[in-house]
Amino acid sequence: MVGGRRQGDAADEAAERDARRDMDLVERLKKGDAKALDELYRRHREAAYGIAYRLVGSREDALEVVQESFIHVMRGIQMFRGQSSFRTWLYRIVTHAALDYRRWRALRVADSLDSDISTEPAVQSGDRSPQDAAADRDLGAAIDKALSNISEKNRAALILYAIEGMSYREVAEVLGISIGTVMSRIFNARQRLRELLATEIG
Amino acid sequence: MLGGFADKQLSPLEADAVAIHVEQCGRCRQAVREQQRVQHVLNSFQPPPVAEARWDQIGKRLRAELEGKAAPLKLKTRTHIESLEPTPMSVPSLRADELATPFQRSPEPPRPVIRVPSTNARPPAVTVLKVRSPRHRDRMGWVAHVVGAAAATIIIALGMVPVYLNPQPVAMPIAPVAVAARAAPTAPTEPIALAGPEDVSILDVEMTVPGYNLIVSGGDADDVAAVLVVPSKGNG
Repeated sequence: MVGGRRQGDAADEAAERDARRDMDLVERLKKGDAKALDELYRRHREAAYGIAYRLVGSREDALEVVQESFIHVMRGIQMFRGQSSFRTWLYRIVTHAALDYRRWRALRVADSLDSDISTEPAVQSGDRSPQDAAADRDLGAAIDKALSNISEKNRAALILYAIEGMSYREVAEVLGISIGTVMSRIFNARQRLRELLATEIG
Repeated sequence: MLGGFADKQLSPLEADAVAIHVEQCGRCRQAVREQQRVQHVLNSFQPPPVAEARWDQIGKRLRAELEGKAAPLKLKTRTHIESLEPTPMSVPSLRADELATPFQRSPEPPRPVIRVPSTNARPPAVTVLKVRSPRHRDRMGWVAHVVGAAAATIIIALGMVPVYLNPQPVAMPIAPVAVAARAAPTAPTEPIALAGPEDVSILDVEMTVPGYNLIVSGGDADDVAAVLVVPSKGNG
C-alpha cells in the first residue's frame, strides 16, 4: 500500500515535471523558438498519433492529422493562456482535428467517389514471428472495424482513455464534458466493442 | 459507475459503495469483468509504428513553416483554437450522505396487517372487498377508540350490577363471532351487532363469507368497535 502510494506520488511528480517543462517550451515557442517546437513535437508526437490513428483509422491519415494539429498549435500558441496543461490542450486539438478530418474525407469520398483511398489497418510486425504478426493484424483489423462502428462521441472518449492512458478528468477536460458523461461514454463504448468483438475476445 | 469502477477511476468513497453492490450483484460483476476484458484487449493493441524518417519529414515541415521558409500549409481541418483551451471544471460528485446507502430502495410504508377472526367456526373462504385508506383509518381511529371505550365502560358497569345485587357466578358470553358464525346456517333475518369481541382484530375491513356479509369497522388492529353479520342477498 505504501509502495503503491510512493509509486503514485512519483508518477504525479513526473507528470508535474513534464507539465512544467511543456510550459517552458510553450513560452519559448511564443517567442518563435524553433528548437522549442522541435522538442514539443518529439515529446508528444507519438501520443497525438495514437489518438489520431484510432479516430481516422489509417496511418497516413493519422500522420496528416498530427501534422495539421501541430500547425494549429504553432498558429494558435499566442492564444494559449495556460489554464490547462499543454498536453490537454494539444490532445483536444488533435481530437477535434481528427474528427474534422474524418468529415472532410467523407465529403471528399462522396463527391469524387474516389475508391482509391487507403484503408490500411496495417500493423508492422517488427521482430515478432509471422504468426504473431498475422494474429495482431487480424485483431487490429477487427478492433479498427469495431471502433468504426461505435458512435463518434463514445469512441473519442474511449480512445483518449484507452490509448493515451488519460484519466477520466483529463478526458472530461479534453472533450469539454462532465466526468459522469465520460464514464458513461467509455462504458457504452466498451459494451458495444464487447458485442462487436465477441469472436475475437471470446 | 461500473466502467469507472472497472478502471479504478472512482474516489475511494465511490469505489467502496460500488464494491459493496458488485459483491452482491452477479450481473454487475459480469459487466465489470467484461469492461476489464475489453480494456485489456485495447491496451495490448497498439497502432502501427511510424518510421523515424517519416517523423522527421513532418518535423522539418513544421519547422519550415515556423521559420517562414515554406508557404503556409493549406489545412484540411478547421479547428477553432480559441475555444479549445479547457477551463477548470467543477465536477459534481456524489455527496457522502448519498453514498451512505448505495443502491438501496427507499423504504416502503408498512402494509396494514389484516388478521381474520380466530374462531373455531370461521368460514373457510374470506374475500376482502375493500380496505380503506390509511388516512381515512387515522381519521376514524380516535372516534372508534372513544366509542369503544365508552361501550366497554357501560358493559362493565352493567355487568357489575348483578354481582352487587346477587353475588353468584354469571355465565359470560365468549367468542361472539363464533356464536354468530354458528348461527349463520339458520340464516338470521336481521343484522347481528357484536360489540368489542376481543378475538377479532380486523381493521376497517369489509369481508364476505359465503352466504353472509361480515362487516367489521372502527377501532384499530387490537380493538374492533363493531362487527355486523348480515345475510347476503342470495341467502335471504
